[in-house]
Amino acid sequence: MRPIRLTCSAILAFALCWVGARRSGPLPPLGPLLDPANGAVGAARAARIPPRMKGIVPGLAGAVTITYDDRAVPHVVAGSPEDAYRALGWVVARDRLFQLELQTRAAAGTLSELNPQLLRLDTVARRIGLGWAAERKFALLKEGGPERRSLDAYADGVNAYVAQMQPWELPIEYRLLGRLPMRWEPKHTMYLLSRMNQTLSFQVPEYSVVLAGALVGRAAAEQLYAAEAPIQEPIQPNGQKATRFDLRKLPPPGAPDTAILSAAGTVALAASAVGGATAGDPEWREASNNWAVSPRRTKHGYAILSGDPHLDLSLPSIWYEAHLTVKGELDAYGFTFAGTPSIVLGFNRDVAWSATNTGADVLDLYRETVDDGRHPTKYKLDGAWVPLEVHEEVYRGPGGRRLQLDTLYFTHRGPMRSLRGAWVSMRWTALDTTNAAASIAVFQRAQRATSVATLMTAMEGYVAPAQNFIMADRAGSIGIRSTGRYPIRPGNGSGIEVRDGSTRASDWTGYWPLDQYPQSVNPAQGFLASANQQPIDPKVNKRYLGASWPAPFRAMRINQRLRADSAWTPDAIRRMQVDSGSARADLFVPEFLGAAERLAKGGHGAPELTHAAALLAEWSRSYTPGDKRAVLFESAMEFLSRGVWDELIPADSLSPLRPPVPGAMALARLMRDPASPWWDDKRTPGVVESRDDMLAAALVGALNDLTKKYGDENGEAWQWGRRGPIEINHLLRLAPFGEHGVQARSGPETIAPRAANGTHSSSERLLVETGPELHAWTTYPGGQSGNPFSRYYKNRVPQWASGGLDSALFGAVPPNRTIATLTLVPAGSR
Amino acid sequence: MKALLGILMLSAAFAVGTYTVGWWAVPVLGAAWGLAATPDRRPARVAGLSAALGWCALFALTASYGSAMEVATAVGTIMKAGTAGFLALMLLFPLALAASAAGVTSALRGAST
Repeated sequence: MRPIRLTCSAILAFALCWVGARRSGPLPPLGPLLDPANGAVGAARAARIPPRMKGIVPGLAGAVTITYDDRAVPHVVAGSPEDAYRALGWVVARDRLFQLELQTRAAAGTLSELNPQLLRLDTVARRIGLGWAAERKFALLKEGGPERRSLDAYADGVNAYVAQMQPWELPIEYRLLGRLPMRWEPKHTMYLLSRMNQTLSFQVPEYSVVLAGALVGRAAAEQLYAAEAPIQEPIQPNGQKATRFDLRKLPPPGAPDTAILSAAGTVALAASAVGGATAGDPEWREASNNWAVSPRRTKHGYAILSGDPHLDLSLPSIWYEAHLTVKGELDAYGFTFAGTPSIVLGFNRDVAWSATNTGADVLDLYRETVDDGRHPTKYKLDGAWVPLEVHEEVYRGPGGRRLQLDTLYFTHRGPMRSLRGAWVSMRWTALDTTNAAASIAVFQRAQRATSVATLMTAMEGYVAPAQNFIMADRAGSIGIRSTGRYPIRPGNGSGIEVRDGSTRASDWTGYWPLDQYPQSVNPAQGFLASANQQPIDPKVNKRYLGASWPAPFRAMRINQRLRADSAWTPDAIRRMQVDSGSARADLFVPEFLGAAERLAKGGHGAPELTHAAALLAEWSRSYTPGDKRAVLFESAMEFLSRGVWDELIPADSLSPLRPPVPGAMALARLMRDPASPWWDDKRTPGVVESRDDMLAAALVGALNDLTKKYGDENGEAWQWGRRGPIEINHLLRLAPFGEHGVQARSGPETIAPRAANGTHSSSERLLVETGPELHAWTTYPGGQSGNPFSRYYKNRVPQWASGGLDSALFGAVPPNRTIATLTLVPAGSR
Repeated sequence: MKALLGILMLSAAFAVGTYTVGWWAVPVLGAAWGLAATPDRRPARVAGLSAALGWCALFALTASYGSAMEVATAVGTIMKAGTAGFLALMLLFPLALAASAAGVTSALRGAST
């Protein structure tokens, strides 16, 4: 008996030690996970913020005091900017350690080391050169220069926290993945900035035009995705007192352009190979709003600034709120990204600023000629063979096992890929190393700006991603500038073509001079606003800046409201931030109703059309959670889009040459041409549909579909809040750590937006009233802590959803609003 | 009474060991108990029970700081084991580990005597 017992015990003990210490399939090591003191449940203990904390940070010149206010915002008081950045690194690591690592891995292309299923994202990140550019930019930072010192200081803070962290403070995500935090390197900040470039400026407008051109001819395709928006409400005021409509007829669909079919294939594959980017359906993504009102249009006589960047929502949020103070040098409050040693969007005593994405075309593709179609070593340039930069990439999985090998090629322009035998390279401002320090320096300079003028000067070197920076100062000035580096292309200057890479004549010839940037200071209209729309009216400046402009519906609504009032208060601006009215609905609802009325008058109005139109007419054109008609409009728009753009569906359903659905601007132009051949539904041979036929069919189709799915039109299932809630996923999409079904006043293309199935919306809201005494309010859909069990993990979500804001504590934190203090001291101190 | 006291003391040792050096304390202490205890004291059962009790106490301590049950529910959901499944695993793991480690050393000790 004894040998058997011994053997069984030994096997069991060994097996348990094995699963305790090693990964077993999808399971992390069970020992550290289940450990009730230091394992996953330790997250409950780590959720507390002890009232008094102390830490040691090597490199600190003196003690730094950090006071956490009752929203868990750290107020850092340091003796030097570097010490402030060390402290910022510490507090961000304490609250967002896993986020720091995940973002860096996303740019470095090493997510597969956490989960092999993320390999595809890694290949994209590496192939578009995110890590390649980050490394090169970091290498160019001057050792001992202010930017490098700030990155070093930030890294000191992060690593000091990690070194002194208790085992139970390890973020739960690491326990679930069975990993320990990586060391934070100063260069990781550059990775984070690369990642932001991917999010905000990786757009390939060539994709849409070339693919659609292959199906309906280039002339029609260029108008479907027109570089010039037919509805103009530009960022740089154009002197008009209302929206300018230029809804010219769309050219009819032409014959498939076989000449560009091969190019279309190349571009389609290029776009997918380098990142899967498209310019399709732009108005549903990458949206943001900001606006500023001059003192003469505000009730209190002070300028007011509103900032509202829209991004994919996540828990923890991409933003972290902080206040940095260095006596006599720095006193800035606002939002920073985890990993960035500065306030990115915020304010100081004198000036406030925020940003929206410009969406300029800063990425071009080139057909390259190489010496060997399979294993190239050189590419042709002006008749000579030039060596390629070649990198062998290894992708690893958990435990370091090798998952995949890849060879990356780089020309002087940037990354190059092989696509069905063709080689295509990419030039992208995000990869340019000129002025590498600027991406760090501009925000650090902005923190110290004293006016709109000095803030604009501070941001002059900014490269990418291009942003519409809006600002307002205590003297009452307001300003905006679409800041970034905009390429000047040879020839016609267009960025919507794949150029010949074998000659330098195809290369960019320079960048826009600063004085031509879209910009304005203290305009006569008394306000400024941006919502990602085309920045300059082409009537003012026709130079090509981009082609991926979202429809200006949010800009229309914002400007319409700003024009209508001359006594703005901060609270009125706060309410406007969550305005759920829709200029898009104002444009298209009358089209549906008009079609139904015309058909009825002509004796073609079926009862179900009359009923559908009556339901739509009931709609307030506002996306409130309880509204039961918004869903009908959205569904009708979907039906309409599917019916109208059937010419863009390739005959071969498996073809990769599938252009994105044209946006609402093309549809708006089409409305002015009731008999356009685009209206005809090719799936109904023998019948030629008109505009009204298609509008009616879409409306009736939507009603029938919704009734079938959700029952009676007055039932609760039709409520917009149930059909269009906000979804805030955890970074790893772990359902228990997300916030789902959030009811908010938001809809597609409203000022308070909801896009991409509810996962994209307002990522933070900032409201600042400047003047002798500054007042500021903030919120964001999350909380300061990255610990899902902290009361500060998602505590602001209800406030955010209801349109509320908290007053930001800008100044000393009073004792009754202090929840904790942290003192950081230099190594060797007691 | 003496046996109960022994179990409680061993439980405390498992708790303190886990708290200070982590989960590896469980097989190490289990093995040590197997060597130290005479076979008539059923070392494997006592070690297993004590380890489970020790971890239970640690869980209670952690819960005193905050939402340990919420964590158990969330992790149980992520692991597709449910709250009860996760809590059961948290008790069964040290129980089986300590018992098997004690069983091995106890059997070895018996073989050598």
